[in-house]
Amino acid sequence: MTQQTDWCKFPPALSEDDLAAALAGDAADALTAHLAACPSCARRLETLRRELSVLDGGLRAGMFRQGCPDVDALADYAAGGLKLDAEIGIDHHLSTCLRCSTEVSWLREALAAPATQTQPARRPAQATEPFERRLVRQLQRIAGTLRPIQLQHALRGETSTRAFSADFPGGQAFMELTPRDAGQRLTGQLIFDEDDAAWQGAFIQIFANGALAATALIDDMFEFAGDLTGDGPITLNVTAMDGRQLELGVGS
Amino acid sequence: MVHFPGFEATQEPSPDVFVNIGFGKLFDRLGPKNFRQFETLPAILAYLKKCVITSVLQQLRKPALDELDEGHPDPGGFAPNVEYDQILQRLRQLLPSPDDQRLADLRFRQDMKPAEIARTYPQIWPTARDVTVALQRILRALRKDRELRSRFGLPEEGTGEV
Repeated sequence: MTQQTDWCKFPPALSEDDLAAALAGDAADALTAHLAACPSCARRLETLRRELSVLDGGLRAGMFRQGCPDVDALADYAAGGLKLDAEIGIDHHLSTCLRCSTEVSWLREALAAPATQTQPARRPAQATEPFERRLVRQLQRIAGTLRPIQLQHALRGETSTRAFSADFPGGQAFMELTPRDAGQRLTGQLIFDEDDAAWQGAFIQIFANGALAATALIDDMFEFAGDLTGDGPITLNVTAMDGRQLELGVGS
Repeated sequence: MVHFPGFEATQEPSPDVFVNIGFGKLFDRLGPKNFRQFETLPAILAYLKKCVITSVLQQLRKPALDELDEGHPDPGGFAPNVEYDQILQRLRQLLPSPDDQRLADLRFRQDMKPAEIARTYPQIWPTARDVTVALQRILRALRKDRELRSRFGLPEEGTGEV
């Protein structure tokens, strides 16, 4: 018996199992009564409680997430961008680490590409076209002027709908403006010389007399439509999914 | 708009702070050499998204450390950067049972709460109380080890001072 247990007011002193039961809330009435009446055993209980708490906290602080891959490695793993040996290492870690497994599932959900958008694969750095030239090409504005064309019903004397067409590098544009009770209805279509999916889903800003009058999106048939609130010369700014821009101006 | 399940756990009112951190990471990492590896603008934007998301994860790993430091009394002489491998080796010597070793990993390394552990391994610890009882038994066993007591600043057993 240690010196401490010799100080028990009501010997025999409580055993460590008794003290552990008291900590766990499993103390019998007699045990609880002893602790209430014996300062020595109560101090021993408190010492045990504090030491277990120190150990628990110290171990958690000293071991917290040790051996877990850093967040960037997990993100690369979730995106499938790791080399095989690194991937196998993380596979093995995930088999026992619930924290990392949860983080990987979050990353996979967040990093997944939207269903309506395609992302170009990362190709090796040995591209034939310098990056700056590719960037300039993508940011380049393509311009075209829409000129009036005569529609069949206009030939029959129906003149309310106006039609326009334009040639621009890589394609053509067709557009009709139909007066409505309030404003005008614009419908149109872009036709490209080569299949260019980057223009599907492109965002169109329609300006009338310099002010934004409507917006629209190009659908998968390369058609678009919008209801204009303003009047005057019309300009279309079309921004493709890859950043290219097409600007079409229509005379009044 | 990107939905990231971990964002709610940060309890931040808005993602702006993580967006700013993400831009900072992008600026730091995207030097002239690395910039040329990106073929398109969408690829750069995808990398930016990754920077923002990983900044959220980094933040989620931090508060737990702060709680660990605040919630426990200073043991006196405790070195904050205790060597993990030495502790792990000692734990494996003191806890031969595979279930005890697993519980030690779940609690001390992964910082899981008893309720979480019981939910994940009900076949071993059916309730949170079973986890708590098992943890107390483990800690009582570890408490008797002189090396661990010394490492975490506890006096020699029996002196009664903490």
